[in-house]
Amino acid sequence: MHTAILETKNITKYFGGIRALHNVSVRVEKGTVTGIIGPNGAGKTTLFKIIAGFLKPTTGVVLFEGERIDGRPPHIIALKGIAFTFQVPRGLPKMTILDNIVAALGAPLYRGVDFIRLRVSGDITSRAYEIARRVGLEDYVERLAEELPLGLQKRLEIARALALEPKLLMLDEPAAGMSVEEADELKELLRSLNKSGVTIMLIEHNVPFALDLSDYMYVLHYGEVLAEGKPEEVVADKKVIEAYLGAGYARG
Amino acid sequence: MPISPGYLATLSTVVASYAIATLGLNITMGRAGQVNLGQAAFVGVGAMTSAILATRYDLPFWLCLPIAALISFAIGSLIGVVSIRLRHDFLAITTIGFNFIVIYVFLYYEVFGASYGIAGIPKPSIMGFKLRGFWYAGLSWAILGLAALLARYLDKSWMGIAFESIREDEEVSESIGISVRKFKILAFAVGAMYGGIAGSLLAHFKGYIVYSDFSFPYSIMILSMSIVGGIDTISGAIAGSLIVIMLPEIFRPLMEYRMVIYSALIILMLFLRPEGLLGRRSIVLEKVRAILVEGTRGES
Repeated sequence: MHTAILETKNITKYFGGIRALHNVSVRVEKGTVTGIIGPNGAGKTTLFKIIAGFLKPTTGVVLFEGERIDGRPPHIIALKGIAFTFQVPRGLPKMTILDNIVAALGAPLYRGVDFIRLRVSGDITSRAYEIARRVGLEDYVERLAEELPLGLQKRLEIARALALEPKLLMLDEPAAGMSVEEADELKELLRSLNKSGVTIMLIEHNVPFALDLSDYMYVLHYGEVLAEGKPEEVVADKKVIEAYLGAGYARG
Repeated sequence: MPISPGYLATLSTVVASYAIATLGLNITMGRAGQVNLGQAAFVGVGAMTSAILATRYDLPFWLCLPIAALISFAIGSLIGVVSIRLRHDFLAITTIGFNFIVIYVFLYYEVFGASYGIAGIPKPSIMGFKLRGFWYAGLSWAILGLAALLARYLDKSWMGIAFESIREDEEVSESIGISVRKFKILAFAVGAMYGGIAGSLLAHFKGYIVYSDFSFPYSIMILSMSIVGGIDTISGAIAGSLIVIMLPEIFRPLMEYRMVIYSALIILMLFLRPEGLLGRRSIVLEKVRAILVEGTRGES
């Protein structure tokens, strides 16, 4: 029995006169990994930003667990259980790795006027250490985020997202700029997260990476859904090969 | 140069008061990263509130000060609301503009004393004993101490992390569930409250205030205190206030050029020691620490 954790219905987004998305409807089943691929400028990141609340759709709705979330501020959407990582990793540069994670851990705990309460350092710190360990950052907790090399900054992004204990984790090109080994490690991490019950939605340029992880895929092209289906169906789709993958991919 | 006790009491009161205003600026700008080039306006709001309540309604200082703090907090949060949609450079211009607007309001409305100012603001008293001279200086330092304790507490509260987070990256903060809107408003409100407390202290000390006491150059003076001392520490606020107040006192002949000196000081510090003399990761602090550590090693 499948239930959608996230659904977008007929999302259209204009930036001035430019149409970035047109009638995009996607459905993410609970507990799955959904991949979104497509060439540059296809509107993948725009779609993510609309779901996360950073952009408002021109028309269309976003449903999360059956509730409309389009137009809500991003921090409210985050607290509802949608975590988001940025395409280019963005830490909180002048803060330590630990504080970066603590910042994400605390937001749900200190809502309303609770911000005035002291941070209960013991509990929250040990949870932050635990998360740092989970993504392999335990040796860097005291370092400033800006001092981390790129690969580790990507892990920090994921650590911060995990701290929110999300129901849906949205990753914008998590494997970009990674070596093959790093990408494999990331794949394992994402698999184990998915097994533990986190639904994942990812944008990838690295098609094999996305194919390998995804249960279901969407191909975006010029702001429209060009194809959708199981990974093997999508890569065999003529339109997809023509528009995106290229003839070489089909032969190879 | 002989130093009279009265002069010393005055200086130490003024240093303590401005240190409180600087602490506030350190919270708004240093911790939360929200540019505020109009802190003197909040000092003015606190001073005028206190002066009006004390002279027109005969309220005692002990009530005037907290009310002044509250009113400044409220007006600070209004500026915070305005700040939500503004980025750094526009925020800089807006806060300067706010400083000018406040000054004109003080100048054009009788209730604020217009161009004559408000005189006869009484000193506080405890059971009939009037606090003046060193007593008042002691009171100012005690309030500075409380203000510093509160600042430290806030730093260790969840708000401290949230402020740092919005300073570092607003979008990332939102993405992890931190309301940028809420903490921007709070950053201005808390910083303004400190300014208001400083204003109330100054008003009751001087006994007479006029609109020009809170003009834009005073905002620059408070900014230079913050930058000289270190924009994100408590000890830095006190050291900065001490240095910036004492400099023109020591070089009296240069008094006329003090705005030039403050401005030059800001530029110099930003180039040479952007972390301030006592800021986090400051070289001065590292050296002092090194000397202390060496010293204790030598003893053992």
